[in-house]
Amino acid sequence: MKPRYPAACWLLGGLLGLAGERSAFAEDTSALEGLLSEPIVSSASKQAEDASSAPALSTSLTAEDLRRYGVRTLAEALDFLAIAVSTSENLSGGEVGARGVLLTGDHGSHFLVMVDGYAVNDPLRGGSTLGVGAGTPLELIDHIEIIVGPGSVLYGSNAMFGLVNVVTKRAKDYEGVHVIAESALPISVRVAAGAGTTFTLFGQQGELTTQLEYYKQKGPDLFFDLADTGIDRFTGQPGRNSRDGGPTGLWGGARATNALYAESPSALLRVGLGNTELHLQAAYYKHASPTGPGDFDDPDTGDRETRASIGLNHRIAVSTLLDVSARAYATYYESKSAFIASRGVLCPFGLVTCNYVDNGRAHWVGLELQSTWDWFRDNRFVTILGADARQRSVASTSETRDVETGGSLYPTATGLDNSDVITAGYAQQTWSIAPPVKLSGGARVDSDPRFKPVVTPRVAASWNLWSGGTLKGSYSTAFRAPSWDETDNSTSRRIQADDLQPEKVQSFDVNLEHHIGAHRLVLGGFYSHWDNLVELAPLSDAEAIRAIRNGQTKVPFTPGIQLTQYRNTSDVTNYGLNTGFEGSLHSGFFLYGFSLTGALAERLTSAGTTRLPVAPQIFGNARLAFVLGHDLPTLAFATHFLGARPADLSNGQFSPDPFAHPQVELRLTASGDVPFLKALSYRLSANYAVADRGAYVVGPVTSGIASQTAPQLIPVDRFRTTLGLQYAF
Amino acid sequence: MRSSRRQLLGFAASLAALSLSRRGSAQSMPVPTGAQAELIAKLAGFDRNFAARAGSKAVIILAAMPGDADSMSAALEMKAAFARLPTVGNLPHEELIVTQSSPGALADLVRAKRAAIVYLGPGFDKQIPAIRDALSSLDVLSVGAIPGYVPSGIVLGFDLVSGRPKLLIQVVQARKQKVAFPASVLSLMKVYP
Repeated sequence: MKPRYPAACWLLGGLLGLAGERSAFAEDTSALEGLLSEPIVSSASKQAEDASSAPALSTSLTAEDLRRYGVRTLAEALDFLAIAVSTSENLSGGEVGARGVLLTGDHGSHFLVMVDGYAVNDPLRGGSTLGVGAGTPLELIDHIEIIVGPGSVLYGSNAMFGLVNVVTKRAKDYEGVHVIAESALPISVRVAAGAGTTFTLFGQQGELTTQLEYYKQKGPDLFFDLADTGIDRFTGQPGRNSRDGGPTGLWGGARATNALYAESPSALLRVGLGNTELHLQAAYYKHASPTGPGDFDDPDTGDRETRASIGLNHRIAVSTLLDVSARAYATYYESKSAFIASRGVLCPFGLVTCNYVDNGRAHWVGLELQSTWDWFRDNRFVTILGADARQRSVASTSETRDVETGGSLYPTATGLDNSDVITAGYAQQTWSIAPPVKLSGGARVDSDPRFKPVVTPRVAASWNLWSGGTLKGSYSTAFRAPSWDETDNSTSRRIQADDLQPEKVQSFDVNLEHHIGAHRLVLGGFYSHWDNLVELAPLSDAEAIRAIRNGQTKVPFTPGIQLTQYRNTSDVTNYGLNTGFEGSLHSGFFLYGFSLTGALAERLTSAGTTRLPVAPQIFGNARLAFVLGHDLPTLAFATHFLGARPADLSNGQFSPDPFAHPQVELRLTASGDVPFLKALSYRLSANYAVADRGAYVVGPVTSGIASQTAPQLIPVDRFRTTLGLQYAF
Repeated sequence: MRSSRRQLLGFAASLAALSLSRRGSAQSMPVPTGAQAELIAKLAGFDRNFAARAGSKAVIILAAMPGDADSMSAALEMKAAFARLPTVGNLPHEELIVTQSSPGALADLVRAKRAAIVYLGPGFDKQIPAIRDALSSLDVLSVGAIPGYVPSGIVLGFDLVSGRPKLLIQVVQARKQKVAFPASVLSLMKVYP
């Protein structure tokens, strides 16, 4: 007989299965498994604590999950495993957002990204890279802590969406020498060599972990739809969209075989001796930017970034009352970007092809001192006081060259040559009033010579309502100081900003977390308000004429010329719900996870209210894995999904506004040790994306024109298999 | 320019000054004391000999290395963390903090107090082999705050792997000290032979 309500039967069967699992195992070990599955995080309040009582929505992604679900980059880790965070592929390094807010074009500057507690956001623009150019070897990652929500209270600028702290492995967890080769067939190859060892020096125990890596990608040769740019307003003929092409007015309509590539060598070294730790990291990242309005499939349009950082940390326990740490750090960053354009409106110098070259370099050197006061010597009432001082310098140039001759088409813009000292002080008090209740409050003051001091407070409370259940709420704030590049720089096609102010966000969060054995449920809601968002605003024709007359740019005027300026253009209101459920059954044989975020984000401008482009209102992920054990592979299935979302140019540029279809990415991964050869492990995964277009308008047609009324959306690499091998000596 | 160089020199000098002072132990605990206490309280209930060893009340010795601030902090924090737990191994419990560097004296204290658990904070790394030998003939669960203690002969320890607590056990020493966990619990641990 068929069941009348098959879905209900399945659900009941599942619950009974869960209950059976509990009765078979739980009376023995489920509570213990629950304690062992509780993430310990230290990024939310600079103290190690249970994620459930941390003063923000905190998750921790494990190295095992990165491996078993076929994760290749930090961006994929966020997409497939995290709660409330999603990324968006723009074929130029990617973008990241959280809880329904994604600020396209921000270079990742609204997330504070750290490796072992050292910020890796670049000193020039505050940008971060989570894709292949991140320079953080995946095999060296122990876990990734993700704190969602404003987090400037202890970390200062950039932590507006939250922060990502990549914690690398200790030497004991990466002992020996490791050789890795991985390929997303046939377009990329990643080779790496890493090592971990412990030693004794001067009577102190020490350890060293390191990895050197080289990544190269050529392709995929994606097909870009044809766009017709029509008559060039500068030449009066159809536009030229390649160096050698005639005035056809056509862009795309072919596979891009030259302009999709990336190359990134990187290295990371961590040495610890006693309570002192040295951290070195360096990376070079060269990649194309094939989607812009310049020439089609030109390999020279792209960016080259060089980053190097050093950090030295020392901690001493002065007494049972006081613990002091000092952290010295320095970062050097250099970027070179090129943009090739032949159309007259972009290159108004006759029948030549322009190469707009922007070079920038920046560094900072700083020292952070922190004291931790455990007043009752029992972790009940702890004060953290800290101070951070940073000297920084930025320099940049911007020029326009003739691609053929290499000569300047007009004088080089002066660019930036600035240095200053920024300082900050912060304080945090945590108070465990009684076993179930924990309070936390703090504030940070950041001083930057360009702005008035910014104060970012946070108050939070967590309440262990019942066994395994914690309710927590917080009010938190964050800010982002616009970079020197945004406040003071001008380029060939961008004029300097006027009186740019820091962006600010404040957020109210409530989260309920419940543990049943090794199962963890998170249910939360949030309301955030963002002020003074900085955006690259296009100048109207009148504004462009005024800028040219005032000498703010040396570009000769031509109707339709695209000049821009950074401005505090809008506020955003953002609210929604997020949920996550994860755990394991049968002592880790079966693992699962699920997260879903629904959020509304409305941009408030003088012109009215609009939806934020590229940001999905609903997104999440789901995964399950079977850890078969012995010589059998671990089989894992993961998916992440993004709801329909407006494309980046969806503010009236086209009618109707372009939307990207919902995207679902499916990934199947098998991993394990090669039978009879334990030192060799493998990982094989296949990835399939359901939608063939993403949320970015590509090519030169950035608003509807007679010859091209509909926008062309970015193509997606839909199917890819990846094979990786790792040998441990 | 000169002032920024002076600032940098100041930074370097203060860092060097901090580096020279060594009041704390070189090893810090990877797992917070609250989580350690909860794990010990749960695990003790799985030890088949725990109830017989402890009697009506579980006595827990929290050993701190004299003169080591990290070690004393760990002992104080563990005492506070245990105080928040109604039972350890399903028994009422009492904690004693001792500052002890002599393995023999520590073993004597375990005998005298009929301690069920002896917890070693940071700072004991050089004494662990001697402590192992001194405790070998006793019926006691020895627990180390530092993962490195376990391979050297402390029965139970904690590590943080992939951001989650991990249990470590030295099975040979566990047998000597009459600590017996069932296979279902051992399967959750990293076992050192």
